[in-house]
Amino acid sequence: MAWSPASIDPFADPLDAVLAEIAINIQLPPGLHAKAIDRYEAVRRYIERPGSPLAGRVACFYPQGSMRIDATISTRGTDDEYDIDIVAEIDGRDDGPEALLDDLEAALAGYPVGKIVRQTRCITLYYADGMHLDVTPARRTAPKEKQGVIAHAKKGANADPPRYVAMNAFAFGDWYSARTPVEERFAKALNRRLYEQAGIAFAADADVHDVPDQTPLIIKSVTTVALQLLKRHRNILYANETGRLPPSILLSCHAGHAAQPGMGLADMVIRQARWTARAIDTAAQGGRLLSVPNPEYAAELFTDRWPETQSQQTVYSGRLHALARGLEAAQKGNVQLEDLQIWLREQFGERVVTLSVKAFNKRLGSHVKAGQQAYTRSGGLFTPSAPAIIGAVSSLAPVAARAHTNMGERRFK
Amino acid sequence: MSLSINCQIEAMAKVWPAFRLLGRNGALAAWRGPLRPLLQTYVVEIRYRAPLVVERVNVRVLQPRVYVLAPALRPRMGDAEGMLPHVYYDVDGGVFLCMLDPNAGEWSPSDLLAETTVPWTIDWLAAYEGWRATGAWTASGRHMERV
Repeated sequence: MAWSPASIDPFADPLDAVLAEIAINIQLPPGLHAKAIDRYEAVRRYIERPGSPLAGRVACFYPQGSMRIDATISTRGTDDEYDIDIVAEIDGRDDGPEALLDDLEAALAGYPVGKIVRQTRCITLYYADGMHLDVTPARRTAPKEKQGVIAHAKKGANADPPRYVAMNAFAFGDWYSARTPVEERFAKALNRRLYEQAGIAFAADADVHDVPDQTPLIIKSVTTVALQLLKRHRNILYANETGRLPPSILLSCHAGHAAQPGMGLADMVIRQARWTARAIDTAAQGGRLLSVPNPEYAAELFTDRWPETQSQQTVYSGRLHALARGLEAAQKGNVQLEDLQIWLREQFGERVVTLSVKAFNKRLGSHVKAGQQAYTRSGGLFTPSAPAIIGAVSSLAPVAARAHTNMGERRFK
Repeated sequence: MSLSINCQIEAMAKVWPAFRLLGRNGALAAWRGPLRPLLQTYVVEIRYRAPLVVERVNVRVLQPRVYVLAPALRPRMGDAEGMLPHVYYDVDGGVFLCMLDPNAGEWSPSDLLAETTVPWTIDWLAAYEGWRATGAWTASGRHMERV
């Protein structure tokens, strides 16, 4: 049987392990994850307070986008700022999209944060610790669960008149979650590393469906972690540009379509990168722009604001293919860790990759020093997240790890 | 009890079949083969002489010599570990890996190279790649300074 490290342990394959470390370094940290939940509940209470223009009119309030599917990563151009997206479904009279945003803006006035900014489709609350909470007002238009519209109203933009835009973020979240079940071994291994890094003991033996409240399972599936890496790749790619970038929801939708539980992390990043790149290529060959509808509500187009031009989409497609090719070359060819690091820095950012390769190297050394490694028959070092599984893997070389001291003499020239 | 060179050759063929026996001359043998600790395949050569039964064993002298043939090891000038970490230098400038403390009883001629030298080379190469990438040698390590 072919050696398949990913099926055994998420840290068994070196490339998967380095990518996992990068993913851990771009996650919403556990403390901020809990804080985000507290904050959006506090915002809801504030919007609905007596005397608010929206008192008694908030039908429901729920996370959308990355927060809904646990795919939050740091914002473009930063390593420690995070966007959290919330939908406020508003009942009552309908005075049009601009008024809907006006009401929400008025309801949030005076909220104790660093800054409140009205955007075209939402109101953003800026917290001092780098979190940004986007509150998007919506109206229900159909009996289907939370199917509705959001407001699009850019102040002073005559060429872009106010309008409602179809939306069902809630159904999309359900669709995505159904396609990306928790992958237990992967989730446990990565959450353990994530919590370790935050200095919190993770209940590693707890059932993944029953983790304690203080250590919720933030990382759940290979698909979503690969999606986070693709979002990070996009953020780095567009870090110095001010225009629109390929939307997260587009990448999330393709991730949902590409989902295939049980794959290794590098393989899944390659699969998702190719999925989006090929969709763009197909559209471009037909002289069209990429068009991706919400699989649960065809009237909602995830690509309504990007791409705007052929060159925008083909440049991005080219970069996705390059990412996939680079990862494939690392898997099949010969690349040393230092060279891989240089290339990964270009894809995912210098600071994060440097930290991640350091963490990978530290982990590797600690496994070897503790005798928690094994060896593949092709001469590979096997350092799984759960060393106990070494004995259960029959495809390893029949050689036990044994302590030894690397000595030697130092010469400086 | 020291293992014979035949015993070492047999174990190497069984555990690491990708290693080719380059030749044998009495109690001397050499193997060449590929190892891929992380994402780079290295070709290494192992040279070893099994001691005679009556011979007094000096592990420092007798230890198997492992040479990395390809790709060449990349030195780094000015590094606190030396330009290459945890190696010995031949009189002709060749470099072989040092993976054991000769005074700590970590290895003796009664050990199979297949169970010690080859896996320790994998450990060494992985640590070497980590050192090259980060500047930190995170596996075990101690230096014997020249006097």
